[in-house]
Amino acid sequence: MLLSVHATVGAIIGDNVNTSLLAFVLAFISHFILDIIPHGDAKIIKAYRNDFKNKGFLYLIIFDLISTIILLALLFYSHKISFSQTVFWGIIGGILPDLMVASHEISEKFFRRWHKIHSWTHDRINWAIPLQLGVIVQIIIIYLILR
Amino acid sequence: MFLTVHGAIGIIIGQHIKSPVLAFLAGFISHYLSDIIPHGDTNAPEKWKNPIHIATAAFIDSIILLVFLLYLGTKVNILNLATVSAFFGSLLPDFLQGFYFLSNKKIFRRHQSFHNFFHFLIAEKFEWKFNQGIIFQLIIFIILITFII
Repeated sequence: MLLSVHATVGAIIGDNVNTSLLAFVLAFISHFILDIIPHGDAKIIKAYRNDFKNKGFLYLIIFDLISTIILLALLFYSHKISFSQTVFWGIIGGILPDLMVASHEISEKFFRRWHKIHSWTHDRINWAIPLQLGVIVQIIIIYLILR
Repeated sequence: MFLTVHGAIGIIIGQHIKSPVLAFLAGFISHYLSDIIPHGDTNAPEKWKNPIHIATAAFIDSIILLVFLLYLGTKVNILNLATVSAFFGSLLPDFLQGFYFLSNKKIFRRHQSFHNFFHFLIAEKFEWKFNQGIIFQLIIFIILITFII
């Protein structure tokens, strides 16, 4: 799932709990729960594994990073969430699993167990939906969470 | 060098130069100057030297940079025009490098050669091993943080 969804959910969790540790742990768990929802990135990741020159994955990474920064900036700017230590740790907990997966992807060594757990959550619901639909699903999730 | 290190240098520049334009230019130039310092990335494993692995590494680097910015947000005010300008100026050469990987257009190829010139200026004669380079950059980053906070 997009980093922006995980970061937003992490920020909201952080905004609603009292301690940084709780924010971090709950946001970390939320990442795996959210990833159970089909979100359409399986095909593009598979294409990347078969062909390193596949640029779709590159564009997805760029879109993901930019949308995360914009979404977080909007959340803080609109005062939907006020920035605090718990929000900070919520965001970190929310995005950390993807950081570990990316580290495993390039090193093929670190965080092997987390990578397996991450893949396991992705495979819980075996619906192959197209990426475009997956992005719409994620936009709806963000809308519902922020409503 | 990591985006995180360039970004930290940019923020320090922005804290000391009040004009946003000058801060941007100083940040931009600082990128090439700091890339002259050997930092191990030319010794990255051969199998990593492809656009996707570089993009994944940049993804990790960007997340760490984002976390670093959020952390700074709890400590100091970095949301002023000069700091933001210097910050983006210091990252711009790597964005241009990203465009080169995506498009391979002539203008980006030229910039890539220019960028590589600074990378290899000293690294041709002396270069850290890849792991040493990561530790070296981590040490620089920690020192830079002490200047910001």
